[in-house]
Parts: sequence; C-alpha cells; structure tokens
Amino acid sequence: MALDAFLQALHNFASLELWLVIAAGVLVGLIFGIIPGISGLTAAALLLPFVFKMSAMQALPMIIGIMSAQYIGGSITSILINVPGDPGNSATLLDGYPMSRKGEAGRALGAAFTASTAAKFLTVFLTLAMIPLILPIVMTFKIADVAFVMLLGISFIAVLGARSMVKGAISGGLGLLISFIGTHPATGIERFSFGSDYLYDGFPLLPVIMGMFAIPEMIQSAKEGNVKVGSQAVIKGMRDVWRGVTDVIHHWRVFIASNVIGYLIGVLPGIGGSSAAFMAYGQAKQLSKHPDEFGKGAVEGVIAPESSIVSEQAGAILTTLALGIPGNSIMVIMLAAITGLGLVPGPEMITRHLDLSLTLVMIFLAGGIVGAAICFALSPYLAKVASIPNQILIPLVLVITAVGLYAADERIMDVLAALFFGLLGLGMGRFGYNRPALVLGYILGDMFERNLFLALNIDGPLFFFKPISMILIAIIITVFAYAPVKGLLSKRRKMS
Amino acid sequence: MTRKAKLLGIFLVTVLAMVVLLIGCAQPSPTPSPSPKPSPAPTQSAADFYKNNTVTIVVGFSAGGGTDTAARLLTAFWTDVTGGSVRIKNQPGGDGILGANAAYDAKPDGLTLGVYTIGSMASGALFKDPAVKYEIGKFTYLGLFGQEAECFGISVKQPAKTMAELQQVKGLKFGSTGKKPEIGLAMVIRLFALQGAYIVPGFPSTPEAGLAAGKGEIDGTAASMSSIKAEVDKGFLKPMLTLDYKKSPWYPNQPTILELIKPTADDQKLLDIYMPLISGRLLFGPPGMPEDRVQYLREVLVKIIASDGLKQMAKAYWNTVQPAVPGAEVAATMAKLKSIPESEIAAFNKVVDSYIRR
Repeated sequence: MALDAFLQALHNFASLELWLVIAAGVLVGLIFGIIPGISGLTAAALLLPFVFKMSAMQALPMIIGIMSAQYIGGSITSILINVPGDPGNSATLLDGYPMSRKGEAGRALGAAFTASTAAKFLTVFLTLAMIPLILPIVMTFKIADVAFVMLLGISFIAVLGARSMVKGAISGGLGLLISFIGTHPATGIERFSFGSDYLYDGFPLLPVIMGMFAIPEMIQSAKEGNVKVGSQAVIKGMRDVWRGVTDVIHHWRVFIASNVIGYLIGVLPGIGGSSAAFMAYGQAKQLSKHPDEFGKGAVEGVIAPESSIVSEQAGAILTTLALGIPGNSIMVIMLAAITGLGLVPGPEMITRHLDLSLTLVMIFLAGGIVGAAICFALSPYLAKVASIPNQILIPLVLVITAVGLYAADERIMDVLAALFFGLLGLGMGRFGYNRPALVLGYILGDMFERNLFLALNIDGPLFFFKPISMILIAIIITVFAYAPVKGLLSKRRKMS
Repeated sequence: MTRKAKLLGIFLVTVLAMVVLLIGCAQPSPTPSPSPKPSPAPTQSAADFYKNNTVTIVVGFSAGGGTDTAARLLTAFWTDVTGGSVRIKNQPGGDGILGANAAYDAKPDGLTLGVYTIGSMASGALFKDPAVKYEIGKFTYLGLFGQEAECFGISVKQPAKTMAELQQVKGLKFGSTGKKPEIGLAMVIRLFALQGAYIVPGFPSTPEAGLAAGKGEIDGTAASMSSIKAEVDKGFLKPMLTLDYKKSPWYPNQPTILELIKPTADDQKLLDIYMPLISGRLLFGPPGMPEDRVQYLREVLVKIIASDGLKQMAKAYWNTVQPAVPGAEVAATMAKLKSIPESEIAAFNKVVDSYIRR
C-alpha cells in the first residue's frame, strides 16, 4: 500500500503547473529566508489572502516551496555575515561564519546546501519508514517523556561549552532564567516583567539570537581586522563549493545521525525547530574526534545543524498531517490549506490519503532541489561577500540586523533588546562563557517548564517513573558523565 | 589614530546613527490617545473615505494563528466590498491583550480596527488581567463573526458514554488551553457535580489537549465545536455536551446543558456570565469613531460574511458560516457583561479557580 501511494505521489509530479508553483514558492522562501528578521512564515502569512483564493493543490505546493527554501536561504547569511536569516539557522553560524573568516566561505556554503538537499532526499525514505511507526511513537511518548527529551537537549548545553562544561552549564542556566521572564506558560502569572508591556511575554526570540551572535561577532571582526584572503582566495569558483559537497559524503555519520535526531524531534509535537539544530550540533561535537575544532570552523558544525533542521521540518510535516498538530507556525498555514481541500488532518492522512501526504513530502524535496540549484549556481558569487572589507561589511550587517529586527514586529524595543544581548554576549565571550548554550537554554526553557508543569499536575511528583523517562534520565547522566569519564580513562591509560 | 580605533569608531557611530534613525522613523503605532476624543465631523461620505484610504487591522497574535487567519479571511474580500485597501498589523503579546490595547488607544478616525476573540477580550477585562488597559463598554463594536458554540469532549479511553455515567466517575482530569475553556470546564464540573474533578491548565492548543486525551493522560477538554470535532475525527475524543443553550449543527443529536440539568439561581448567574463568552471573533474600533463610518463598517462586515466566496473558504474553519452578529447587538452584550456587579464576577472567578490545579 505504501508503495502504491509512493508511485501515485510520483505520478502527481507530471504536471508543469505544479513545478511552476513550487518554483515560485522557493523563490519567495529564498528571498525571505535570506533577509534576517523576515522568515518564511512572514512570507506565508502575507500570501494567505491569495492562498485562500487558490485551489489547495496550488496553495500547498506554494507554502511547502516557501518552507523548503527558507532555511537554505537563511544559511547564506548565517555563513557569510554571521546573522541568521531565520532563527532555525542560528546553530549554522557557530562554525559557518568562522569558516567564512578563514577563507572557506564557498566550502561552507557547499556543505550547507548539500546537507540541506541530501537531507530532503533522506527524509522521503525516513517518512516511508516512519509511517507505520509515527502514531505508536507519538502515542507512547507521554508529556513527562517529552519534558525529559527537552532536558536531554538542555544537557547538550554543557557539551557545547567550549572550554569548560561548568561555564557551559552556567550559560545554559542563564538562558533558562531569561526564558522565565514574562508570564508563566501555564498559569499566566507574571514574572520578572516589572509591569512592562514589552516583557509581558518575555524577550522575543529574534533579539536574543541576533544580539547574542551578530553584534559580538561584528565587534570581534572589527578588532581582528579584515579576512585573511591573500592568495588562498575565498573564491576558487566551484572548486571550493565542491569541497563542501564532498565533505557531506566524507562526514556521512554526522549527516545520518543529525537527520535522525532532527526527524525524531520534528515528529514529537511541542519541541520545536531551532532546538533540533543545536541538539544535532551538540551530538556532532560530542562524537567528533576533534571537538576542539568546533566553533572555529569545523565543517561538521555546518553539516549537522543544516541537515537536522531540514529533517525536523519533514518530521513536523508528518505529525501535522497525521495528528493535526502543527510542528511550527508555517504548518498552521499548511493545515488551513489542507482543510480547504475538505480533508481532516489525522490518521486517515497516512492511511486513506497516504498518496497525498507523500506528495506533500515530495513537494518538500522538489522545492529543496530547485532551491539548491539556484543557490549552487550563485554560491561562487555569494562567497565573495566574505571578502568585503570590514569598513563596509560591519556597518552594513549591523544596519541589516537592526532593520530586520524592527521589521519583524515594528517595535524599537526589539532593537534595544538586541543591543542589550549584544553587550551581554560580548561579556560572555570575554570571560569564556558560551553563547550558544544560553540561546539553547532560552529556546527550550519555556517548553520544558510547560511540559514539566503539566506532567507534575497530571501524574504527581513521581511523574518521571515511566520507562521512557527513566531511559532518558540515564542518557542525560551519560551525556554529562561522558567527557569527564573519557578524560579519566585516558589519563589512566597514559599513566599505565 | 590606530586602525582598530578607527574601526571601533566607525562601528560606534553606525550604531548610534542606526538607533537615532530608527527612533526617528519608528512608527508610533497606532497613535496613542489617553482620552480618546470623538473625531471631527467627516467631510466625505464613509464609502468614499474607505475607498480612498487604507485600513489597518491590528491582530494581537502572530501571523498564521486562528485569529490572524480569521482577520486575513476578511481582508481577502475587503477590497471587493469597499474598493479600498486593508493591511494586517500583527502585534502579538499577552494572549492578544496588547493588540486590543493598541486598537483601543488608536486615533478614532476609523482607519485602525482590531480583531480579537470575544471570550478573551471580555474575560481579560472582567477578571482584571493586569495587562488590560481597555474598557469593554467603550469599544466601537462593528460585529461578531466566525461564532460557534463550545463543546465538551471526553477521552475515547474513558468508558462513560453519557454525562450521567460520567457523574459516577471520581477524580477526572481535564486539560484546558486558556481562560475560556477553563471556564467551560468549571461549569461542567460544577453543574454536573463531578466529584474530585479538576482542571490542568497550560496546554498550548486543543490538538495537544486532544492528543493527551487520546493517550489517556487526561480525561477530556472543552473547546470550540470545530476544534473538538477535529479531535473526534482523529479518534481521540468523544463529544459529550454542547456548552450552549442551542443545539449545534455539528452534533445535532448531542444534548445541550439545559436539556440535562436544571440550574439553581446561583448556577444561572454563573451561566449568565459564561454564555456570552462563546467562540467568535470581534471586529472593533477605538472609542469615539464617527457614527457614519461605524454604520458603514458594520454593513461591510455583514456583506463580507454573507459573501459566497468567504462562505466557501471559511467552511473548513467554522462548518456553517453564521451571519455576522450586528455591532449594536455585540455592544449591548458587552454592556450587559460590564454591568454585572463586581462581587458576582469575583464569586464566579472563585468558583472557576477552585477547580484549577496549579
């Protein structure tokens, strides 16, 4: 039955109109993905009045085309100017921008585009494999178990700490504390907002991310001077980009593991997209033979987040279709288009209407191919951005950052909040504290607190006494203990 | 001057210039007016005014959500009816309250409107949410659309088939996604005397509460008819009760509250507060709008909701698209709610709170 549905889905692609609509969506997604502060969701929302007037088989490819291209577009600015085009691309800049500074911008872009596109291919097969499993998996994971999955994500925080696990944990804890500002996600009680309307819902995501990454890095770049371009020029045309392509093949284990992590996070409702990228980054670093290179331009640091964020989206598509729970905001709009077809998202979407569900996943793949083709063609020219002198690049990036921040919700406070986090990020970098750890703690804190609250109120204080929760607790202890135990064992080996 | 100092100088100047530029250009959206005064008498007809000007609809939620989608449905037909243009301004925060505050404070010239759910707008003010800066009796109500009753559904894992059977079960756990479902569930617990039942707040959405019910983690939830139906279709919930006085077209055989119980005088007071807070979106403007523009916009809303195009598009969201409730009727409902003595509101709040586990 799955094979029949797969073949029917393939057959649906014999339509030029479908490809044109996908291409239109991809272009929109790329443009909006590249511009910081204006994401694919904004594009989809702006299109909504037009989408309502389209047929569902025009609307769905358009929306999915936007979705498939937004992160590939966002990776361009993450790598070239250290500003994430979309919050989901935040983890990419951790190594993408350092690669660009080292004169490997083309390689980083090639790795990002390849990881993203290859992940889309892989997710078609992951989806086929997951169809009989998705409902049992989702129904098995209780609220408490989801809370521990988030705690597992937070445990990667310590791993992300560059020099010190303790400082990484402190950074993550600070991120958690910042996430507590505003109303409690379950009870609505105000905390630490001091009566401010702006802080009623806590700090928005965009100023935290832009402030933590863009501003300190620009100041750091200003101090270090211009990119060392020299004779090993940033641009060697497609040769440099091709190197990035082969890197994905060379690091296939990182690629596969990141896809699996991202897909599982996407399938589980309520965890969210940005965390997938950071968790994949953390696992890549932990399992790397050269973890010290992460944060300084390790290509695995680009492959891991770019593949996981794509597979997270694909997993979220399946959950959205099978359970009607949108994995992210853009899925809400996709749901609206699906209900416009007269379909009800639910188990029937993976049984009776499996061919349609597979068509949507394959539209996601098709969008990725179109987007990658455009990006690969442009990548040698895009890489030239890295050679722009700092005197021009830094003010340009800061203006783009400020405009992007203001454009998101038209609030000047977002710009000022980013400045605040920029200064905080500067201080953290100066004293060896880890900024990605703070951001991950901030992203996961709200969801973790909500799930913990629900678990406690539903199951009482022994909420963790469940098989999956106990396994996750064991994994968390292992994550924390891995590095110290490894260090101890290698010391003993050296002594003996 | 060293190179580093020069670069740092460029950076600082750029940042300062940016901030000054943005503060200067920052749109004071919409123009605040601490004591909104009525606009001066207009010099052109309302129809010409709206043909020649762009209306801004403030939505207190992020793009893509239910209220935003409802507002965008309106905008899809706005130009067809008025000949003019409209744009959506998302101003999320405080579960929609900040957007409602912004629309309340806007210049009352009829060019800034708001869309919000009636239940959240009323409950925010009645139960004195500290973020609320508006008074529900003072808005200019243009109409209510997308209205539908609430429904109480229980988990498919719960053996009870009727409310009478459910009354025999002790210690039921219900999940809620916000203030209005909490109130609905509290009504059910109280009116049907469900022993030991309590409400767990904090579910982010009805699908997630439905999923938890499907897993057996909670025993039920309350939400709009269309939301509960979606969970029923997925096989997670069984519909049990229509939380309204009238039958619902979605489940015409399902009993309503008054078919099953005879409320006491005290219970009726609670129902009088709860019932007006049905699901539905309000289109409204700030206090003091010119009367001719108010009448014109009320007619525009009725026309848009009655249009075949919108009915076709909105069918998936609201099943049957009910005619828009006229603005005057909404204003009367809100005035009635506002007139309820504070002691009764406090008593109501106490009843609801007594069932919530925090």
